[in-house]
Amino acid sequence: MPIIVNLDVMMAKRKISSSELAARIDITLANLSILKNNKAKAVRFSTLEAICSALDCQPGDILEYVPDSSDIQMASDKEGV
Amino acid sequence: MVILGKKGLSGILKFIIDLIFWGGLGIFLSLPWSLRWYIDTTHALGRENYLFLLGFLYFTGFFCLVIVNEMRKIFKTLSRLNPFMMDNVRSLRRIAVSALLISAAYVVKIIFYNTFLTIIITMVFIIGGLCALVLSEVFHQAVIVKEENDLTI
Repeated sequence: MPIIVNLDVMMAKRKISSSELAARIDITLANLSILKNNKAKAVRFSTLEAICSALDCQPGDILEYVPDSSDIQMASDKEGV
Repeated sequence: MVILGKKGLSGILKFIIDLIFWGGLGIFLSLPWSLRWYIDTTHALGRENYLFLLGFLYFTGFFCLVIVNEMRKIFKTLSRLNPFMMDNVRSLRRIAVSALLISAAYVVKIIFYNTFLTIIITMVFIIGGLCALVLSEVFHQAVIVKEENDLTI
């Protein structure tokens, strides 16, 4: 998955624990763990809004796009054409 | 009326299927004696037919037990209210393969010892096997959707 969730970085910056964040955004610790470990397949806007509100940040601070090696190959192929 | 759950219709069906499984297992293990008893009481079959029938009933009986056992597993997950899992997809595929193998055995029986009932049973197992195959794919799609839903935070 080329979308990386940098939630733990932002949590460390704000000095907030997983259980405290889970309680603030009203999701289970298990779901927060799925999100932190990049196992999630999708994030609801409502969850993203709650996280941004709790951590006082922007979605871009939490989510990052890192292209796969196959994506880079495809892009270079297109440029070649 | 409660359909799913231990006290629902699926729970009652699970109990009946359990009885069928253990009864079937008993008959399967006692086949040489029970078939001999059947032949002696009906006086209908010779020794050749006895050996053919014994092999045929062992083959079809084994796969029938596989089908019933897989159904038990599926009903167990229904009782736990969690039917959409990959184990059930695999169970349905095993049921489909077993049903089609049984129908193949019945096709052989049609060639050697044809009766009207044999043709009907063959058709039932062919249709049942194909339905189980389609159902397994439906369950597979459902599992994919459920996983997607479970991993949406």
